Amino acid sequence: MKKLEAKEILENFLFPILAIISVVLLTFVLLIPKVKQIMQIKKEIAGQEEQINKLTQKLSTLQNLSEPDLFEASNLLLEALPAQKDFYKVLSLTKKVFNDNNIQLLSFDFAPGKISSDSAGAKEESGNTNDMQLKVDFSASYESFSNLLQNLAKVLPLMEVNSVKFSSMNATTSASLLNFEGTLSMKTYFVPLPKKMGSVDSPLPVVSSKEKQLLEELKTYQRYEPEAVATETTPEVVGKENPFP
Amino acid sequence: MLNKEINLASGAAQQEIAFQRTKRRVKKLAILILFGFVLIALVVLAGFLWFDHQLKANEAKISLLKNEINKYSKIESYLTVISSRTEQVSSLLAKRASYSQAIDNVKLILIPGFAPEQLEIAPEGGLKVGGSCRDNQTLNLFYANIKALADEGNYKTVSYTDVSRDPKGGYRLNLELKK
Repeated sequence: MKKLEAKEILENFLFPILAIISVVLLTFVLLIPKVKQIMQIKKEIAGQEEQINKLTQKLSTLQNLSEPDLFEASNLLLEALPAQKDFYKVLSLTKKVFNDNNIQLLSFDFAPGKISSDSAGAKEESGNTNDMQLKVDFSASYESFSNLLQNLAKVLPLMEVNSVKFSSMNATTSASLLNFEGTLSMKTYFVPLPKKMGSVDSPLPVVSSKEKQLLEELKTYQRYEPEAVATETTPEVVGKENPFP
Repeated sequence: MLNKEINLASGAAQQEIAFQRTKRRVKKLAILILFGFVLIALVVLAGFLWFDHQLKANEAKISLLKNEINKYSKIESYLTVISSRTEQVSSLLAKRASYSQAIDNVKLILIPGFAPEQLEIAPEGGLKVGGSCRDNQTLNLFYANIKALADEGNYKTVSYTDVSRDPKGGYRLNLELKK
């Protein structure tokens, strides 16, 4: 066999050498990165398809929900647990419940504090329920007071009796049952609204049957209704029309 | 018969023929490799374009779905309120002590002949009672009623903080019933 020199090899095999070098180079520079890119895109597509499935499901669920029903339910729950301190509402409701049960409200002591949501917002993040304390001095018969305690457990906003201190007890003439005077310490709650009201990507909260039962129960509770404000009626015009308009 | 091949070409010419044959084969191989590479590159490029198109189509679909979902943002916020509030309301209702039982128990304590001086329904429904029993019979009935309340499991502990005999007659009592 004839012995070839390097120069001769290069002259005779230039095309194959160049071709192989180009293939090897292009494989590393172009082909392998593109294949890696394809793998990455495939992974992204799998993620996208999962997201599309979730979003489609969420959209279909949202389309099947009734906005008026949900509005009513959220309103009911906000009446049960208001987002802000509303001492006037609590006071009006307390007065009404006392009146309805024939209990004389002698005085009250209320310290609503700051009516701001900023300070309360910080507490809300840690999951705390904020409360507002109320003390009411009353005079009542045993039966009325017993009814009051039952009715206070069924009002919106939710109220909780802390303690009852009877200051005087007088026996009635008709029976051994007593007339009480005392102080009722109560508290009512408020929780600021969640800072994040859901996002497109987050799963939809599900209202369970237990929660639906709670909503039905809350519907039976006594709710605050603003007292009708007496409107001034314009006096009826009698006689001649104004001759000097 | 003897079978023998006769090669008329000279040694140098034979070498040249072999060299040319090798050169052709190497060239063919190089063309084949190049062709194979181009083929693979085309397949990879086509795959890349296809997947890239799919990625962009999915992005558009996601964006469309998000826009559609955003139209229902009110419903979503109602659901968030409902979900968080029901949890909080349930927890408050579960923790809330019932005072109806406590006031029923007061009825059993305020028997004829017992003159109450102090009566307090403490948090959690416990009772603090102070007063005087007119006579021994009243004291017996009062004691029996308190014992019955404890036996029924309404209160965990019953402690008489003070029991004394009133010089004017009767018995003075101070007791605490804890849940």
